[in-house]
Order: sequence, then structure tokens, then C-alpha cells
Amino acid sequence: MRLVTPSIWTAGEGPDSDVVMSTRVRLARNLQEVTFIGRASLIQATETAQAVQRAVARSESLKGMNWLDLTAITARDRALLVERGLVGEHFSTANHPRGMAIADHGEVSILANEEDHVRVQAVRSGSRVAQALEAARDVEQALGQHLPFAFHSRWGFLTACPTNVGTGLRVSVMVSLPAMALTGQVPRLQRAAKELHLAIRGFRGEGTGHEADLFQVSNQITLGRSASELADDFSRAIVPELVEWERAARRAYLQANRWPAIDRAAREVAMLQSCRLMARDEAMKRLGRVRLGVSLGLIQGASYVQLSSLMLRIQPEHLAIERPAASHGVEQDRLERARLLRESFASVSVSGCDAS
Amino acid sequence: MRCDVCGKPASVHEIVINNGEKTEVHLCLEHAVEAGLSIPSAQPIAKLLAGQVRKKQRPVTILCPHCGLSLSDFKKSARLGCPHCYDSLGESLEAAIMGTQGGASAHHGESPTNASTMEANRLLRASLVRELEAAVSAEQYERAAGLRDRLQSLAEDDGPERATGADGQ
Repeated sequence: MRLVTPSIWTAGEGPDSDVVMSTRVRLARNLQEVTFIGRASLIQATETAQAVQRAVARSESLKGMNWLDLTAITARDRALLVERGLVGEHFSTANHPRGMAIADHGEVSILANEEDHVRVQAVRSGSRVAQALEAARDVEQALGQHLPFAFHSRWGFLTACPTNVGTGLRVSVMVSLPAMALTGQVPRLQRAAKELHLAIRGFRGEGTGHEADLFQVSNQITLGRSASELADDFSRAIVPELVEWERAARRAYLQANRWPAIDRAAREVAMLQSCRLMARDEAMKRLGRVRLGVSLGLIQGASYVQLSSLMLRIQPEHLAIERPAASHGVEQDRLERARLLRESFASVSVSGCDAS
Repeated sequence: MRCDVCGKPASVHEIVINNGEKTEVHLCLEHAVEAGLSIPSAQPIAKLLAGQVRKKQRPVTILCPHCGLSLSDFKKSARLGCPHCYDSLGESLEAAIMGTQGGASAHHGESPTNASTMEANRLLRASLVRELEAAVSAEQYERAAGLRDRLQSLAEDDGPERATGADGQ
């Protein structure tokens, strides 16, 4: 299977990776004179997907990308793409003709017939907004040599949803904010985000909960400022502010609650070292708490890299690839997940436990 | 025939057979309604029909003639139908965009790199052919002729490019 490769957003490294897990940049484009996908006929949608595939194949810089026809790959492969955050649930399960080009384990990808005809996305681990934008822009420009993008003299790049018009740019950073969550600062964050026209979503996108204290912060304004200016807001102001906020919350929490923090970390590690059955949701929650312990300097032998990759490996489809079981079922998944976590945490320890 | 009741021109004519006895009844619209008779005459039917059509058409406000996006489509999905919608929807869309975009009223920044003319024309041609087919089946011959002219001029533009096999790459 082509998709058995590490995923870039779970690399767990990069600038400010104690708070910022990954950076994602998306550029939405549509084709001139072509009906948007929501109103397109089957023939129109097929033609559009083919036009994108042809453009990828013709472009010198893009032709090395793998093309996946989403209507032809298995449901399990589509689920893998969803778990990796490369496509949304809706795109994965839709019925219309659609496909995607993917390169470098998903560092860049091109979605054909998502909500817009073309969506270019670039993902980097850590806080790397400028790099992700540059990567997405390179792909967009290479595609633009072969595809006529719909562009309006006043509104810029035209999108199916007017909330994306102009640059078609969405910058999104996945941040881990366990201390802010623990100290009840999330409502404050949400208020600040609203004022700054930022959207805050859960780990798996719109409408999902803040699993493992992970939040996706993204811009809502796409018009009136250039893509570089919008991206600069993130790298110069929004991300540093968020990082500092969370780090301050961690310091304050540890100072005021040293023993509860140690106790909490020790219990989490013990649980992961001894569990025999583990559900996905519970595993995500516990990994989030361990991440807090690591960020407070209380847990040794577990790194952000390891934790980020585990957050992906415990997902059902990834688990099934890594640990093919004779029979698949909820209980088998839980057994395998627990086994994976026990093995991963075997040599993890908590500092300060003997200090009493 | 005149109305049996008021003498105005009758629009409802009924033959009533009661105990083998045949009686003709002629009534004007008002008195036919009053008598509880069904109204089979042409004029009221046309009126009723017109009323129905108006009722049916009221919610179907076509916003964009290019893709047929209606107001209810847009309200339902909050998505536009095609690139032309940005011009077709005019001021109401302008207000909506500025509302969701923090007051921004125009694009600033990058414009597209030049796409291959060949690919642009190919997509345009496919779209025009579909429009032409739709126009012919709807018997909109004037529109069809216009579309055919655009297709022909497109084919002429493509001529030399095709002959040399160049497509801008």
C-alpha cells in the first residue's frame, strides 16, 4: 500500500514544537467558465478531475506526484487519508468523481473536486508558516501554467464559498494547549480569536471536540490582504503569542501545583504502561496529558516526536496496517492499541516521584 | 348563453339529468361558484393555472443565468454555482462578502500565472457545447445561435495552434 509512510504533521519536530504540532497552508482555486463542484454534473466533475490530473502529469515539477483516484481506492485507504488529515471526511465519502495528487508523504497535495475544483495544500511539522506557504504557492503556480484559474479583477481568485474568495488562502496551525485547557483559559482564547477573525476548531476539523487538548487555529479573512501578509500575521504575531501564552500557563501551573502535576503525570504513565484494552478516544486524551507532563519536564523517555507519531498510530486504520490481526473488531483494536502503548511506554519514567 | 340567475354572459354550462328529465343550466362564474358547481370554463382555468405558476415560481428566483443558481439553492448551501455568480449576484453578494471578510472590499495580492490558452479554450468549449445543447433542447434558438457563433470563433482561434501542435508548454 502506497500510504504506509510516516506522516509529516506527526514528525513532532520543528520550531516551537512544544506547542505547535504542525502548520498547514491551503490555496483554493477554480477553473474559468466551469460550474463549481456543488452544481456540476457528473460529466463536468469528471472533466474537471481529468483536467487537474492532466495538468499534474504535464508539469515538469509536479509529474512525480502520485495520483489517487478517490473513486477507485478502497474505503480503508480513504480512511487512512482522513486519519492523516490530508482529506476531510466529506471528501473521503463523497460520490462524485474526485482525486488527489500527493507528494513527499503528504507534504504537498492537490485535491481535485473538493469544495473547489483545485485545493493545493502544504503541511509542515512545527511552526513553519512561510515555508508551507512557499511550498503551496510553488505547486499552485506550476498548476497555473496548465490550468486557467478563475480570477476576478475585483474579487481575486473565485471560490465556491465567498468566505474563501480573494487569496483562497487558509493558514492553519495545530497547537497543543494542555495547560491553557487545564487552567480554564480556553474561553479567553476563543474570545481573543473572534476579535482577530480567527477560527478555532478541534483536532479533526470543524465541529469536533478539542481532543487531546489540540486546537486548529486558522484565518477567516481571505480578502483584502495578500497571501504573504496573511501568513506573516501568523508567523510574526499569532503563533508567537499563542506559544508564549501556553508556555506561561505551563510555568504557572507547575509552580502552583507541583505535586498534583507529578501525581497526574505518574498516574498517566502507569496507566499506559499497564493497560490491556484501550479505546481510541481514551488513548487520545491520555496522550494529550502525557504531552503536558513532557512539556512540564516531568516525564522522561517520551518525546514530542514519539507522542505525535503515536497519536496517528493508534487511529483504527493505522493500527490495522501496523498490527494486522487475524480478526478485526472493536475489542481486537483495543487489545492491539493497548499493546502498542504498553510497548511504547515501557521505558518511560516520571521525575520527582521519589522526592518526598 | 346568459346566466339563468342574473342574465350576465354565462361561463358554466351543465346538463343535469334528474329522473330521466334533462335540464340545462347556464350560470355566470359568480353564480356557478355560489351554486357549488365545478368551474370547467377556459378563463378560470387559465387564471388558476397562472396562479399556480406564480406560486411555483415565487421561490425560484434565478440569481445566475449561467449556472441557474437560485436564491433558495444559495440559501441552502451558502455556495455559489459558478465563477459568473460573482457578477450575477451583484450588490447582495458584495454586501455578504464584505460582511464575512471584515469589511474588505477587493482582492489585494497575487494574480494568476498565464495558463495555457489551449486548456482554457478546451474547458470553455466543453462548457459552451453543453450550454448549446441545453439551449437547443429548450428551443431557445436565438441563444443557441449566439453560442454556436462563440464556438465557431473559438475553433478559428484554435486552428493554427492545433496545426502546429503547440499548446503553450
